[in-house]
Amino acid sequence: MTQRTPSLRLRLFLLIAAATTLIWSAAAAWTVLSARSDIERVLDRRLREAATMVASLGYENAAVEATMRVDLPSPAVLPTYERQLSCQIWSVSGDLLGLSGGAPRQPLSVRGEGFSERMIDGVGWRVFTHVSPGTGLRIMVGDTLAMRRQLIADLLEGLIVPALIGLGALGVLLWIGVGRGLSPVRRITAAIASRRPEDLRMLDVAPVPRELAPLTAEIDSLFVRIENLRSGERRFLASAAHEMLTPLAGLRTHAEIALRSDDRAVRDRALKRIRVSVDRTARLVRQLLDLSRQEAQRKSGPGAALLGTAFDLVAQELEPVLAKRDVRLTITHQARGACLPLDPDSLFIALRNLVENAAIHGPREAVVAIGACEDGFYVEDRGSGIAPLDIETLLQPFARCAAHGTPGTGLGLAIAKSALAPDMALAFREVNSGFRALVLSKK
Amino acid sequence: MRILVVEDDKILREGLVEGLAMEGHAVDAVLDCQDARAAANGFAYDAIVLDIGLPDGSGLDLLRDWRRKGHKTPVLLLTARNLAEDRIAGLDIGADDYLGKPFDLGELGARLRALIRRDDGRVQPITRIGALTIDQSTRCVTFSGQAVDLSRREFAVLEVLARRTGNIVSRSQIEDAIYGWQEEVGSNAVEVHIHKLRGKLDAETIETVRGVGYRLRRT
Repeated sequence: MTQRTPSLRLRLFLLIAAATTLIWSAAAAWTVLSARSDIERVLDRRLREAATMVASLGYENAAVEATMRVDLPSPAVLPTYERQLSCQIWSVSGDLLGLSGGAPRQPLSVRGEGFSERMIDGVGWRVFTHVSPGTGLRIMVGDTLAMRRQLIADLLEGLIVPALIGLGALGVLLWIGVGRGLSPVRRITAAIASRRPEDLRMLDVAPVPRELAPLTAEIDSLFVRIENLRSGERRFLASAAHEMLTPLAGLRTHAEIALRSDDRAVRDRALKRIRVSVDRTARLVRQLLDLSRQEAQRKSGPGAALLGTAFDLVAQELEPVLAKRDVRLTITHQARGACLPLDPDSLFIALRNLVENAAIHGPREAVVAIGACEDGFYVEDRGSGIAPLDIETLLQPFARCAAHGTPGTGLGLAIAKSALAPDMALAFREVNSGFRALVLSKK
Repeated sequence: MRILVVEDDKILREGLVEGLAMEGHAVDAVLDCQDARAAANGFAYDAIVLDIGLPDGSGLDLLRDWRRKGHKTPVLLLTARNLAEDRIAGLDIGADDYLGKPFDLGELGARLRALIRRDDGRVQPITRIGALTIDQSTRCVTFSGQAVDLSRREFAVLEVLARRTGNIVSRSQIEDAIYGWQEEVGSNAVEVHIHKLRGKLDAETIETVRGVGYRLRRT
């Protein structure tokens, strides 16, 4: 059963969205830090400039009275946060000479020239203190920390909110875009899904994106291979039908002759031919079943089987055939103990077909010998063998050679070959004593 | 009628020879294309029964070759390939009829008779020559309205003469038409059959042309 996996669209979207979010987050973090630093610097510069500006207004020469209140011009650096900027002017003796609206009466800073931070009545202040070199007056200009934080927060909010909205919009666009980008996949899927099983024409789904071209090419190639396979099966079926119908036609013809004729000799002859035809048809059916079984077992792994055991079974099963042709079956001691990398059924089928072939196509009153050789075993008969040019033909199902006048189904060698493991081969060799069919391991 | 059977399966071939002989034909049988070519070149058969799958080639190729060379002998294809497309291909190549395996011997005989009849330019299976009526489908013969009982050979001889009514047919032509290769023919077999036929019909119907042959009169 196929494991359910997320859709390709979702996977692509999540990958792109994750990558985009990561990059956007990094960029946003860098922007926040950078913006905060820049704002702090700008605000500090504003404090310094405001203090310098107040100092330049000439308060050094003003009358120094403790109660005196000076109305300082409000520095207009940032209009929105203008009122948050507070200023104090202190004398050398530590008297408050003036202060701006909203500024506390306590010193904004107790440190010397430069920037400092201080809590006054629970309010945090960042202050720049300017000490006038001539008069010793100290001019303090400060912002509340809360204002500064608010300023930074407002600024960042102005950056982050559009970014988040943009991210959301990007997500939607990505989802739609990935979906549209995958439309050729949906088109190809629909084209395949709408096909009838017997339709093995090439896919007509042009234009195909470059990335999907190898996939469609492989699908087309698969269709071609399946079509070739089916053609082979059709040819095999047609041949099997022919091979089955021909002896049946012979059966029927002789049955009609037997029914029509009053001549006992004619009837007897027809009945004998019917018997031969039935035997041949039965052999053909058995071989077709063997072939079908071999095709079904093709996926199973290698086995191990004793040649001697297979020999005994074959000798028992072919006894009528051997007796009819007066053929003696022998096996050497070495061959009897030979173990072959085949399952017992496959070895039995291969051996039976080779022996049956030798018995039927070889001479009568002869010996069919089974022996062991270095890489396997052989079946030797006293016949004239097979012409080298005919061997490939005879390994195909239902193939017969014109030179062979003997009756055969044309399946024996094909079945023997199909019964062998992929790393085994069927070979043929003329020897002094006759002709050998060899089953050899390729290793 | 003399028929050539081209079939590689021994049992079926023997059955066809015996069965068609029972239908009144003289049958020669070969098992491959090579022998079929030699047989067809050596004798003018009345019809050929041709299997498609032969050991040394396709019967269809053999037929195509015959037709290209001008052989007009009627050919009945006999095959296990029973699909319509196979039949169409066979007929298009030049076959005159098509019969799928397994088949009925009677049907095969009837189809062969029809092929030969068409080849002779006759429409009906019944031939009337004067008082003589020959029904090839039922193998019945009447003379002056009376049924005449003929043996297989006698019917075959009469059939050969009837196909060439008014013309002289030599003894060897009659022998060729009624005996196959493997049948032994006695030296006076034809004369014996003619004699018996005259006895069953009348003496005037079959005329002897001395030193040449025999002629069926149109009386």
